[in-house]
Amino acid sequence: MSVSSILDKLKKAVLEGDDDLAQELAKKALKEKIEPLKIVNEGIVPGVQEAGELWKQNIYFHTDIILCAEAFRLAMEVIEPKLSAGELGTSGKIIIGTVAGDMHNLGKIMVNATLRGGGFEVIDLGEDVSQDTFIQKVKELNPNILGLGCYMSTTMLEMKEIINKLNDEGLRNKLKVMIGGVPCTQEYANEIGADAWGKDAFDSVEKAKKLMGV
Amino acid sequence: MSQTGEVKKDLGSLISRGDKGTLTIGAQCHDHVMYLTKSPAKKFYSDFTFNYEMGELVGRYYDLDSPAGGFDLYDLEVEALGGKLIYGENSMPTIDFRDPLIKSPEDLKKLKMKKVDFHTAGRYPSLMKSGGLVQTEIAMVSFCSPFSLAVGLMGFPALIKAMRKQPDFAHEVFKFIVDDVLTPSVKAQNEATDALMGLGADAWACVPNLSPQEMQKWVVPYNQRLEKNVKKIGVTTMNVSGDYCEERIEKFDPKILHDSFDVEIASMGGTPAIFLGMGRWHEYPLEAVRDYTEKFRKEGKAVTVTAGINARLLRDGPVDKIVDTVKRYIDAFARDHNLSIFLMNVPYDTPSDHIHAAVAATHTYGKLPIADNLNDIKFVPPKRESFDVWKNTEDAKKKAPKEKERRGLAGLLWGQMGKINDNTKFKEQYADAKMSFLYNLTDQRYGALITVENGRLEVDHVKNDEETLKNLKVDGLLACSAGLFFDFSSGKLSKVAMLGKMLTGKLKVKGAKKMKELGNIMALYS
Repeated sequence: MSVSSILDKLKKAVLEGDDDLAQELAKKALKEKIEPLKIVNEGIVPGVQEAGELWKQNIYFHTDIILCAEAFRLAMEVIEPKLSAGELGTSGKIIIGTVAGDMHNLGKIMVNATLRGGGFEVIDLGEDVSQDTFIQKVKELNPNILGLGCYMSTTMLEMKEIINKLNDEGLRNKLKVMIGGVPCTQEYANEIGADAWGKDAFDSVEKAKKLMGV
Repeated sequence: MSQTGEVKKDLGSLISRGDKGTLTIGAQCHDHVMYLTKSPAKKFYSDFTFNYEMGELVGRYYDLDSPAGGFDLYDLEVEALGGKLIYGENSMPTIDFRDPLIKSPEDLKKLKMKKVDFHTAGRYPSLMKSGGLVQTEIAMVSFCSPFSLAVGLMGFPALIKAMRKQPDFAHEVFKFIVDDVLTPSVKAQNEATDALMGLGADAWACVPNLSPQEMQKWVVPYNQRLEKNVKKIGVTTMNVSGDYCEERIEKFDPKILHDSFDVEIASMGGTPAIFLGMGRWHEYPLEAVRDYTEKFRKEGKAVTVTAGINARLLRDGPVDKIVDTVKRYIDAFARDHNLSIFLMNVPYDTPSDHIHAAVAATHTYGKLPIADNLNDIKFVPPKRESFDVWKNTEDAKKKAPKEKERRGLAGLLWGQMGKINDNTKFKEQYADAKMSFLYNLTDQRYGALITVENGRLEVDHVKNDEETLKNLKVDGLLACSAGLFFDFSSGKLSKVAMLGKMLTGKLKVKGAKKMKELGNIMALYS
């Protein structure tokens, strides 16, 4: 199989959300000695990008995007260890997590994939993440952006507390804060002093790039 | 209940408190009720009687037409099956999606072996104790619809992966949910509360989570399977599936909207009732909705529209935009649809002024009959005291007079017929009339006795036992199973089919002429 044929098939597998096939093709690509970064840039990421286009055209729905994100994740699992330092995450480093008391992760799974596809290094702290954990990880990992997600109007109040703590710890000016999730709005982002609100996964990556000037 | 004796089966008709001569407005407002009443989250979401009382109080503060605490029950089934829930200090409990109950076909097999008694498991005893008064003033069966429950049991990504890659397994999960979880849960609630209608919460089954085609394949068939299963118990279920929630206004697509309405109607037992729910309805073009309902209007059917005010608009405001949204809805639908307004999942810290404005706008612009030109109506948002001040007033302390207990069909009929007592024409025309009717549901514990006397209509439950019925002297009688009653009353049964049921003794009607009088009474209202 030619290099372009493998990469085309990998892109198609990611686009169609066939995670097992995407992982298999990623392994095959490495076996064929295709450069890891080329596999990412010409095979894996274009699959996510095209999924975004289909989503904008109302051809794809969240089901398709989630499966695409899973295929992306499994393919990247194979390639990432083979990349040299600095080859990924050129757009910046982002810590994301769902705030305490909230277990929802659907939006975060999609955002995770689109951000990584957009060249960000993403450290996902998971769900039900305490304020202290967010602060500790910011201190430890020094991210460019902190992404906070929530699903309920009761848990979104956590976001305000986290920003207050960042201020108290003298960390607020060292990073940007983005928020997202069903109850959030740009008005709420303004109210609590966040830098941006991601309306959805694709909006989030555009806003993150804007914040980073890339 | 309409002129034809139809018992309405839709969300909007379940919003009822008195008759103000205006359109009605209800709310899903649990988080906000918890916030205003400073209720501890665990008690609020575990003690359903307390939850209802707090909602009732806040409902009166806002002058809503239904209690405001009602919430969708998403996690009761999962908890009863042994799933882990996270109880936040200030929030509704949520399922721990990190450790779902079904991760593999083996897990499903194990769950199938588990015997769950829905009378006693998890928070069900509290639900039963509340008499089913969680979502409305009428006793209702509460449940999480099959698709959203499947998400609760597996997590969304794993579920959709199974739907695509292991469809047989996914179908097994859905069958288990309907046959082994929801049907016994509905049965237990009917046994404990005599509730005859059930409303299923299905926020996961919406656009853009799923395409309408995916919903037709995975959501509608299992909603209908549940409807068929529980009809045998005498309960009618409806599922709030298919909500159109597209976030990006540039992606608004009338075709997808119409397809999602098809899902909604199919999930509501075929009743022409649509729900404009969590989407950005303050921005979507309402003409697209009218285009959809045109086919029903041409057939002379008034579509019920439950029109939601977006949660984020409610929280962020401004008041003018909230009021304008109410006004747009009324202008678009109130004259030729059955319209009610609904405040969608009101956020925790929503300013009270925003809610007061929405309620007042509904009652002002929605004054019946609806004005030809709403711009002629002067509206000033009310200035009200805070809840904390109000709750110490005499008005707040005056609890709404406790409705007398009306079990089963009596409660359901009272919700729709009781308003006739505010009707002047009825009071005049029936001042000297005296008549009584019995609607007896043969497979339920209680029937409904309707009496008209001295210009007042009353509905009471009567025990469905031989002794009671023998001693009851009524002018009209209708006796059949609950399932047949709903088919008959919603017009699903043709005259020929009705005759067949009468000949086989499945439907008994006595005093048909007098029964017609009841239709004449209700015609005064409609």
